Amino acid sequence: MTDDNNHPVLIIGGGISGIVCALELNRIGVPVTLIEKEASLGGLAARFCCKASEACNKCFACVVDKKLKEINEQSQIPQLTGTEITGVAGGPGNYKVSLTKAGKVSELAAAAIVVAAGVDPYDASGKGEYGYGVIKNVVTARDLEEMLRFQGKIYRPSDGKLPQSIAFIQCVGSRDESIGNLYCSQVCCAYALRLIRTIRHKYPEVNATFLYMDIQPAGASFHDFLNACRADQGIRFIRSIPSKVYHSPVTEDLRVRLADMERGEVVEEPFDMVVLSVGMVLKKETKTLANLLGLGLNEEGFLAAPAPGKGIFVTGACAGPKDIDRSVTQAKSTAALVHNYLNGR
Amino acid sequence: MYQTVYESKTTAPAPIHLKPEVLIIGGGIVGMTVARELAREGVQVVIAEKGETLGGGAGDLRFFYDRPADVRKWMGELISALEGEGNIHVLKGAKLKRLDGQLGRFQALISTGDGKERTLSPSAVVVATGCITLPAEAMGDGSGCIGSSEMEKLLAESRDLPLAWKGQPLKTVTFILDLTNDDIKIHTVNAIKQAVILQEKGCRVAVVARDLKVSASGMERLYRRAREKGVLFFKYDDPPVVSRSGGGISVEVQDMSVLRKEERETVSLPSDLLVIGETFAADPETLELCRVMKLRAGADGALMGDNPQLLRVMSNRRGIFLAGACRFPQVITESLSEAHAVVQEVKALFHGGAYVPANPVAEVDPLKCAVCYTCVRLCPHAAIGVERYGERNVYSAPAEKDGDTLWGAARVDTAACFGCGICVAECPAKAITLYQ
Amino acid sequence: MSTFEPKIVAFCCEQSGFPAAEMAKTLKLKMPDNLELVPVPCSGRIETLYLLKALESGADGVVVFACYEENCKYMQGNVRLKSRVGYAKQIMTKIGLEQERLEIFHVATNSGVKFSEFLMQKADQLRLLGPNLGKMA
Repeated sequence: MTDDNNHPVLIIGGGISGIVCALELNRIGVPVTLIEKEASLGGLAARFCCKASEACNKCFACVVDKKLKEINEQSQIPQLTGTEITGVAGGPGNYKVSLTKAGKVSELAAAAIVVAAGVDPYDASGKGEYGYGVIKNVVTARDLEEMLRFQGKIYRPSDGKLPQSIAFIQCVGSRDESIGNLYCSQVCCAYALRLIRTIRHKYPEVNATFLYMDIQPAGASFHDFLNACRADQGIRFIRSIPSKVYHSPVTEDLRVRLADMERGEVVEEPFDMVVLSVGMVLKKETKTLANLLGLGLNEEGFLAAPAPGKGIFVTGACAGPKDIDRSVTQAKSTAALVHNYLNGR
Repeated sequence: MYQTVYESKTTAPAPIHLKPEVLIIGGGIVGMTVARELAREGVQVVIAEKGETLGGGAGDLRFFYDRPADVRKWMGELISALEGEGNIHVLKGAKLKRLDGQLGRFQALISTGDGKERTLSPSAVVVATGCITLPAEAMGDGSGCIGSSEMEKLLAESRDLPLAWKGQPLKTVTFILDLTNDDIKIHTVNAIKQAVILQEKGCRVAVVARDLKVSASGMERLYRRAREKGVLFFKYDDPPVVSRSGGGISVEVQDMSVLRKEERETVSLPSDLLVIGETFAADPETLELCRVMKLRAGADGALMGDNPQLLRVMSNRRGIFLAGACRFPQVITESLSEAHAVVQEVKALFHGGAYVPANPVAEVDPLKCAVCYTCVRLCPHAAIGVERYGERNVYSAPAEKDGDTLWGAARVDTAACFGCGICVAECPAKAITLYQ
Repeated sequence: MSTFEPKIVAFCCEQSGFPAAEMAKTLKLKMPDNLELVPVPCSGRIETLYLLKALESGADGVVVFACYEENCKYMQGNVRLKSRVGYAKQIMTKIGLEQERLEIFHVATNSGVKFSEFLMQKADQLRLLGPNLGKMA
């Protein structure tokens, strides 16, 4: 499907996947327009903190900042922020997309569409037993990331003090049939361990307990990283997902109820703070977008691969959970495939 | 007020013409995918495969874990697609002996199985050499214990037949995971995939693992399906004990599903066959290739490691790309994603037909150079070489045998320089300057 | 003495330190008053001579912001820097300059808060140490 009119490729979503795809298509001379619902680019990953301890822990959060800087320097790529899609008409090779920004409606003709809409962290209040939103000192990993990124420190929301003991509860919202999320979000084990390492590097007196089902690997050097975590005396690994988090309304201290196989009994352990390692879910708005574009959802509840020849491509976490590293690789790969499509291959 | 670390030059470095020719080392699924895609762009591709057949490490696979297609058939289609492409030339039994030059004008000396040697001059090189698998560690005397690729073969060959192993009906199989390579998902993926097939054929299957690595698309559901079909899963902290008794193998593992320690039993799993994943290791030939190509190998031989500044498929040298299991053993979908990412990088490189250095470039003042080789050795991007200058110079030492006063000096290749300035800092004679 | 504001020269690696400085600026974080930023393409570009020259020409303290290990765009630049800083510190000991006047600090592209916090701490530290007696300016 050759694009005779030189219409741009529309990239929906200005997170890391959308940004990399836009940069890559721009490098090979394909005109693109990037649209982003929020007021600025960056998406979810732009709010992550650097999780280095003595050395880099390969969390790839800095990559997002770099790519953001890169796209800011490419001012010739149209980047429409605060813009949403309200309608899609036309067909392969010539889509007519209706956009709205601050009430103003406009139309854009697109030769192809790339959906890089990203994901939302699972809303932890859905797991009522952990008390997120009710118990002050229960936070999500995302809250922790933002504390570290924008304030450079961690603290208990109730009194602003440094927590001496933190429990990290894994698989919140993932691998959980009771809420219908029967998939592994793939990034949580790695990000939680990296957060623990970076926190303990800054505050060596803080102890962490890692409560998990199965430890999922991430990246090429995970073996050494995991060994370093296991060797760290301040990190306790307990293979057990807790059933409930209790709190004292007076001190806001917490107790976590879990079955400890090591001790062979159900215990209620005290902690100063609990961090819920939330997984990924598709955004509700993306489901609406999927309907507009005629995209289905796969078994896991993420965007299914569109039929070839439609000129619609799906990339990044909205296609299935993945970390920043793989999102970048997939975005580059998608750019190559879009280019093929535009040249009739 | 910024102190200048760059000097400015009025003449820009000349653009380096890039003819659309690429050398791909490795004819596995990654090498073949990159070749096919680039060939369609009109790029002349040469695949240098060290073996006699294409297919690489994935050649052992028969079943995908996430779709019902047959791997062999898919692979066959991939190979015949290559043969139909006029732009692809496949060299078999090929080894890269030497790589000189830089982006745009590499000189690759390749020896082929027929004893001949040829020189190719690609603009860019792709390394897709994969990794090797070491045989599964023998448990006991080795019999009754096979690797996952043998199990793959067994399952493929007994599609419509009852399962048998060495003439005996196969009734019980136990998979033991995570004895090696605890950061690679492939073992878990293959084990659960095979366990489901075995259980469907009436076998009693048990999977013993430290951590179930379901962090790949669709794996949690596959795991669930396996449990629904009756596959038993056991997790361990200490590796299970394998013993032989009465002609069979027995795997002993603690039943961690029971909370109270007193009530916990050691479960004995009698097994006709034990399946242990082969160990993935870096191919020593790939490491040798790194030396020839001046690429950096990370820890354990995984090329480039995970440097976030570099991102996947890039290497420390401009114009050389890496993808697939040689970087890190991955499931097929991820390897192919890297293959397409390489295609994108090559497309971007060739777009415009020439490379124009965008970053500051270092330049050696040949008059000051003492040819100490410091910069050559420590350039992270292998961008510096020592060349002979043909002009007469009274300060020179005589050349080897010529009698001509040829003298040498280090020279930075503008196409390969990344502008880091490390050579500038290290040169004892301060002979190098960074130019904007 | 009470109005002494230490002059800090911060060599910033363009891959990490400089973006961190920009992030600190965007977030409007506090920075020491008498601060001079010197961007370099890689911390490995910084020669021992620059560090000592900076101290000689009027800096009360020199800080190098470098990437974390295994995060250097040019592989080992930050490792090379470490040995050069070590050499500079040896020389500083010989001529009687305090060790605190030269320090490496590892940051990433998005370490705006760490950047600002470290510089403020360094400024406090240098204020207590007093002016650099080794300067020629």
